Amino acid sequence: MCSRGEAAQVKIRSYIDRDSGHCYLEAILVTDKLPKPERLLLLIDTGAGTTTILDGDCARLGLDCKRLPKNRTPTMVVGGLIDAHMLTDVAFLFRDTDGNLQAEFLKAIEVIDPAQGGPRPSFSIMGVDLLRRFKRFVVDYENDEAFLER
Amino acid sequence: MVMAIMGSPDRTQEIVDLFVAHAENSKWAKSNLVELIGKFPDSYVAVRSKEVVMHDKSLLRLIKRLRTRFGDISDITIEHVTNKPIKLLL
Repeated sequence: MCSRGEAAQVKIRSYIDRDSGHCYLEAILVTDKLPKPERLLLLIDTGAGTTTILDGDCARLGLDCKRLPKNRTPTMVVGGLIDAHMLTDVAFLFRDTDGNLQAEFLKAIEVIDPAQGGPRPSFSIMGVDLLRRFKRFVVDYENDEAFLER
Repeated sequence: MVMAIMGSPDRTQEIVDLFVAHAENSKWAKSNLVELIGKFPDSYVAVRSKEVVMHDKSLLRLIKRLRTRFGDISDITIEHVTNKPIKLLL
């Protein structure tokens, strides 16, 4: 029970990869560039400024990068600069620990075209632009738990 | 806010179902990882309803094959199975 004026805490569970220690989050992407909502596995990356759909997910979702505008600013990744595409006005849906859906909007995220080569990870990146929408990101390696809280 | 995005309770339930389907597929893949690595080493496996429906060494080729066979692949979870640890430097 909450005291007066105190909002109930919302927690979204993140999955910790036991081998690497990386934290992943299940999300649903909603955009008018796709016919229906699509699931994404997001690697929480505090070193990434912008949430990014990586090349493997771009192919899986069937996003046509030729129809997406290119970001004016090149993106620096390990190995050099790449020209990412932009997907504008997107929503991410998350499922909290009570089973309710939580939504966040972003004006734009980046998309890496599969044509640019490189590895094909089966996940995408949750950058600080999305992460900072939450109050806290708690990682408890001792108990193998991680949460986003708001 | 969620209703504003989804438009109807039915579509909201569709999203919940999608979360549940992928969570179950991922959980199944993790609990059967040793067996999957043995059968499909260094491959991408496509899991639907807790069952491997296709596998391939190439993710892009797998996606093309899945689309050809199933059309809608939104409830299919793709996992990379390998016993070679891959370090990420992002």
